Amino acid sequence: MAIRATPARRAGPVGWAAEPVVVLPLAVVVGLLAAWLGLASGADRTRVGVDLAVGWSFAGAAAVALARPPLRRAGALMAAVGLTLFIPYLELAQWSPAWTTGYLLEALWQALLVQLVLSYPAGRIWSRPALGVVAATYLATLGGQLASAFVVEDPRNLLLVQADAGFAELVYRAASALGLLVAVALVVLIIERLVRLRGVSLRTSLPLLVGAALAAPLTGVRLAANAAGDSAFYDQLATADQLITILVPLGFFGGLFWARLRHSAVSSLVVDLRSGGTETFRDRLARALGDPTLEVVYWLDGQRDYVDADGRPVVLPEPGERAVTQIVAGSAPVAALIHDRALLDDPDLVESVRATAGLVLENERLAAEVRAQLAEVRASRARIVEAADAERQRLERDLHDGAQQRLVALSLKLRLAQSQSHDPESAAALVQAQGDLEQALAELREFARGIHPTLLGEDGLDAAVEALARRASMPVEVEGSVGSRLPANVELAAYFFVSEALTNVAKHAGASVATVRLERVGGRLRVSVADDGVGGADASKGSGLGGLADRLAVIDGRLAVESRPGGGTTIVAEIPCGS
Amino acid sequence: MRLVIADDAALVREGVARLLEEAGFEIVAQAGDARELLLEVRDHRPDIAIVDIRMPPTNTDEGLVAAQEIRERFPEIGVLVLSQHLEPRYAMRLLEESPARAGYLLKERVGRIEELADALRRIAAGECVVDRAVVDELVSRRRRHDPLAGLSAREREILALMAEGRSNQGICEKLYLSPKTIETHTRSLFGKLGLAEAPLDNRRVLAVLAYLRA
Repeated sequence: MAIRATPARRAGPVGWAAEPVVVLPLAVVVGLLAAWLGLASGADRTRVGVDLAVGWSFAGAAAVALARPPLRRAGALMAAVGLTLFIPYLELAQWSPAWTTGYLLEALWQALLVQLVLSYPAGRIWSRPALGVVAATYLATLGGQLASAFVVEDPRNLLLVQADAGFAELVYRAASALGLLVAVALVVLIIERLVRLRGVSLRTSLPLLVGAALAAPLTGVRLAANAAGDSAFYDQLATADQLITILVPLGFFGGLFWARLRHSAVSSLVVDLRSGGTETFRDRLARALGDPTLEVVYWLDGQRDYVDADGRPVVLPEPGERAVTQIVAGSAPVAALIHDRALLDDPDLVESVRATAGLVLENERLAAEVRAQLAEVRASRARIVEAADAERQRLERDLHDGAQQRLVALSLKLRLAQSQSHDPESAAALVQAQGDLEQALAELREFARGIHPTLLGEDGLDAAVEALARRASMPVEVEGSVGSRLPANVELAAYFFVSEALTNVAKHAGASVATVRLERVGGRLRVSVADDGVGGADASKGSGLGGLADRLAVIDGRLAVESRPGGGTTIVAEIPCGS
Repeated sequence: MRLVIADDAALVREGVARLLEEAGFEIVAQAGDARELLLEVRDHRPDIAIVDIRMPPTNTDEGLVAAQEIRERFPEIGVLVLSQHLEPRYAMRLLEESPARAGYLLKERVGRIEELADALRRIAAGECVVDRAVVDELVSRRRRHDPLAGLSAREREILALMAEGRSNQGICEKLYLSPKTIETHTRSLFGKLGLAEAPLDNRRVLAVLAYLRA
């Protein structure tokens, strides 16, 4: 049942370079080499500084992202961007293979950057259109460089077939035009995604994507100029364009900082809980995590299952849109959070919930366990009453169909014996025995009727209450009526209520008259028994009302006693009865 | 007199049949449930069918339902329902459509074969029969403003006998009084209760029972 919160995912293709501890030193070394190469070759110092700042920012972001399993793919891409950013410096080398490699892969980092953005944060490219844009970027960057490599005149160019400056210009302009389309599409895709995302997912993605969307227009303007043939303008803004790319790693760090704020919100939960208030723990946790759909379920050892706060069993969802995080105290499960899958993008957050909420959740779990037990007790009380009623009905039938029939048959035998007896003394004894037997039969009938009222089942509450009133030892008036039939357990509870209440009146009240009132008020059956007796009745003093309250509670009924010394007593039962 | 007896308890059924035969009745058929009873009644057309109220399958009021069906399909055949229930409501269910040739007795009366025979003869004569215990429960009910309190002991006695379904003639015999005396008492008690006198004895039963149940 336990579903781990943090599925570890290794970024395969980048291998050892994608280890968090390796990537930053590696980027420092590569950057310093590139800077040395650049400065030695008289490159623009500002440009070198910008490249170092941007490259190392990406490397730093990569080191942080790689340490977070859900962000590993994004981290690997960041590392790749941070390292490949320095590839153009190879073109400053005099060694031909280095120059050629540098030329071919000059713009690889831009393709990697577009892939990073369009696959953030999971590392899987968002959609088919996004995949198309990524592919177009690779075509514009790698394809453009490869096509022009055959015609660019440079002594170090190993791929030169025939120098053709015109064709090279054509290729550059075509690649720039394609790059412009990519820049526009990138912004459109980002905006579309930001509009669609909600809650946690939005907050995870927002800063980095906004950074990318802010950086893209300048690149677009440059590419547009280049495509139009103004390469001077293109080169003029190169450093600025490079620098603005730093918004992407900065956005990444901004997102992390935002998440950190939520961590402290989670940490302050425990303190927060002491302040009380009406907000439930779930609500506070949902607010702290920024996930309004959060559900908290609790582990019940007894049932070996999860229940909600009210103690009702819960089935954990299959992994998909919703994710499950188990909270464990010691080695025993305490609770589980069912939440938006996007929360997993930030394992620290879930981890801090685990750390801070364990104790509180243990408390809540105990509360849920108590509620579950209460629900079970209620259910079992209902079953007990139900079983007792069924047993009473069975008993009544057995009396009628078994004992009573035998006694009637016995009465017949006694009568036959009388007619065959010639001894007047024994005949008289037989007559006496038959009389006794009839008395026994009458008592048996009364007994059976007390156990279970047949009339109630057949003719309903009005008729059965009328019969109770008729047989009472004091005058009883019945007012109102129920009309139609009600559920059997409601009728039975109401019947026993009237029966017990009338018995009480007869025994204790010293009343001259009692009034039974039946009415239906807004989906409830209201039965009252009022007398004009001595009053002072108390439901708690073993008047048989306690048992009635139990029976009524099973069907969510209520019992109220109104009694003043000398002012009579009114007992009221109210039972929900549907319509 | 030709009878059909229906009761699922064979012991009781056979016992009743034997006592009634000794008393000079002819038992033309016996039935163990309501379906069988209806078939036997159809085939034998007895004068009276004696029916136990509780019979299979549900052991609740099958006998009463069967008795009502017999009365509907064969109005000339009388029915006597034997019941475990001291409950006027069941008696009324049997009688309210038409009280003639119908009776509701407690089951234990079968041991008193003379009472059973008397009831059968009254039913055959077109009267109706209500068990005295049922009537007694109605008459002795405690009431806040009891209209019966104004009746003399004799008048209460006559009221009860009327509720049992007895004719004036029957009441005369029961109380050893002259028809004239009975008539005087009857008029007096009807006046005290504010009841209109019904011309037919059987209608009178219904009026009295309805009055007592109210």
